[in-house]
Parts: sequence; structure tokens; C-alpha cells
Amino acid sequence: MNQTQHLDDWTLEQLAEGMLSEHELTRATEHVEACRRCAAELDGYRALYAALEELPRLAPSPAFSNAVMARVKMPEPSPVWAMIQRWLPTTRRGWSLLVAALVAPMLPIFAGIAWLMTHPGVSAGSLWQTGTAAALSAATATFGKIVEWGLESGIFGGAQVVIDAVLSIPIETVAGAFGVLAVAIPLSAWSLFRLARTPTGNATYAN
Amino acid sequence: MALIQSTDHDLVVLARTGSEKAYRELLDRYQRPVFSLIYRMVRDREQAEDLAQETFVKVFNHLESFNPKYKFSSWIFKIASNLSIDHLRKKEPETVSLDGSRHATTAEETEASRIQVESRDENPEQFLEARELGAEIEQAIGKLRPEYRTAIVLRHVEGRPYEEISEIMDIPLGTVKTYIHRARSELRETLAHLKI
Repeated sequence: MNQTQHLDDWTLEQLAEGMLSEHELTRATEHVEACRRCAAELDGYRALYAALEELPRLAPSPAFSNAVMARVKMPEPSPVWAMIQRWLPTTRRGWSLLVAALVAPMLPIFAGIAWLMTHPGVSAGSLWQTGTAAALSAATATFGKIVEWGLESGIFGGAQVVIDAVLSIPIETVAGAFGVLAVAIPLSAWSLFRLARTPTGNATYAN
Repeated sequence: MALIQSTDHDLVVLARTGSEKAYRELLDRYQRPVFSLIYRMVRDREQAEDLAQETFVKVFNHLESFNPKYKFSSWIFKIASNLSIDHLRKKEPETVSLDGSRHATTAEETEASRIQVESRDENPEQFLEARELGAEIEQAIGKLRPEYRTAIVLRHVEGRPYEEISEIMDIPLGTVKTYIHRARSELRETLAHLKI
């Protein structure tokens, strides 16, 4: 670009905004340093932008927010969710206390495990094996007691009658019933989930 | 949770579940810039408040139609801009004044209708000078075509990028640049006596 050519207005505007690419910026800056007309135009644009940015920051009246909220129809939270929310903390301190209350009882257990592992021969693997063996043993003993009680009380005798009745139903009917349940159970679960999360209706704020 | 740290999208999600705090946080964030844009379009304080209220009521009562692919600010400014332009098409523009409504008949009414201006921590003399210059510039902005006015206010007063202005006004980026370029040219011409 020689001295007789001037920068076009859009380039000057972009230069004043700081939006030229590095290459364009270098060329434009070199030209402005050598051209009084373009330098004056650039100053003019900068002054305009500064004046626009200095315009007063306008705000609506103090009553504006309440006037808007009085006309907004906010969705009502779902009653199930509202019930759950009643039990949940609403402040940061409340949440901290809840987490502490849940974590605190675990601390002695972890401390106990850590102490056990300091003993020779006790490792994470051996602890896991002991723990799972104890849990299985307890579950088996409990199940055994339930079956024993059932046999003594005669419930299983009644269950045998029910089982015999079910086995007499044609296989196609049983398969059809299972098919219906396979659709109905997930659909019910999904409906329950939506009911718990979806707002049930509209309530005017003013009410 | 401190809502002030939440994004606009998070607030919209919360508001959809009925959180009044989320609505109020969105209101706090956007009432000033929305009012400012509308006021500079319609140049009447009472109308600007009515239209700004309409904007928020429309937005809040139709939050379910907000598409999170776009910025919330673009959506709300678009509604504000459309309401302003519709209003201007029905009505002749009036003379702008920061000093109170022209419909005021008593000193109390004038004071009550004065535009609230947020302080920029200037001294009184600077404040008055800035106010006089501001009034001249407001007059000049008022003479622009509505489309040019929207574009220049969004760019230089509200600091929105060109791409967002294109979304707000629903026009191509090239057209935004053309409007802003023409608005700047007209403003410089009108304000030439101020050596701008």
C-alpha cells in the first residue's frame, strides 16, 4: 500500500476494535503511522467507541423484579420430589453435616481394617476371603432357618399346591404372561420415575 | 448451592423444576441489559419497562421451548429486540430524556419517572459532563434506523460479539457488519461537532 492509498473505513473500524489478524494489523499500523488522514480517522473511530461504551448503564425501577415475578407461571414441583426434598438439607452446612453423619460410622470400620492389616499374615486378600466366607455362611444359615420354619409351619406345603397349579397352565399362556410382565414392569418403573421428577401443574407465583 | 456461579443453562434447568431462586438469578443477570437495549430502541421509560416486563414474562413462561444449543442471552435479547421493533412499527418514536417522562405533570412524577442510572464512581462534575455528552449520543442513536440502532447498541453498549448479534437479530453476519458500519458512519456524521 503506498501513501496515496488510504485504508478503507471497515479496516479502520476493525483496527480501532482490535479485531484485525496479525498480518493485517502489521500492515494497517505501518500505514497509519505514515498517513495523517488515516490516523485522524482511526482516532475518530476510537473516540466514538469510547463515547458509546461510556453511555450510562441504565436500570429499570426497583419494583421491576417483583412486577415480573407476579406475572410468571412457575411450574409446581412434583409432590413426590417435594417430599424427598423436605428431608434433604438446603444449606452447604446441612449437606456437610449429612455427609459427615454418613461417613463417620465408616471410620471405625476402616480403622479396624487398617489395624487388622498391621498384623502379620493378615492381608487385604485374606480379609476379603474371610469376609465373604462369613457373609455366605450367614446367608446360608438364614436361608436354612427360613426353609425349616416354612416346612414346620406348612407354608411350603401351601406353596407346593400353588406350584402344581402353575405347572398345569399351558406353556403358551405362561410365556404370554411373562411377555406382558416384561413390558409392564419397565413401563411402570419409567412412569414412576417420571412422576417423581416431572412437575404436576402450573401455579401462579402470586398465589 | 450459590446460584451466582451457575451458568445460564443450569439456571434454566433449575427454573424448569420450579426454582424461584433460579428465575430471580436470571432476572438479576439480564434485567439491566434487556432494559437498556429496549430503552435505547423505544426511548420512553414507561414503555421500556412494560416491554422489558413482557420480554421476561414471555421468556419465563416458555422456558420449555428454549433450545440449549443457543445461548440464553441470544434468546432473551432476540425477544427483546423483536418486541421493541414491533412497538416502533406501531408508534412514532418520541424524544428521549433521561430526566423523567414527558407525561409527568408534577415534580414528584418527574422524579419518579427519571431513568435510574447506575453509578460509575465519577465525581459530580465528570458525571454532569458525561451526562451531557451521553444525551447527545443518545439523541444521535435515536435518529438511526431501528435495525442499525439494535446492532450498534448490542455491539458497543452491551459488548456482544458479531456472531451473537447475528443470532439475536436473525440476520447473516455480513448484514450485521453492514448495519454496524452504517450506524457508525451516521453517528460520526451527526456527532461531528463533538469532534468524534
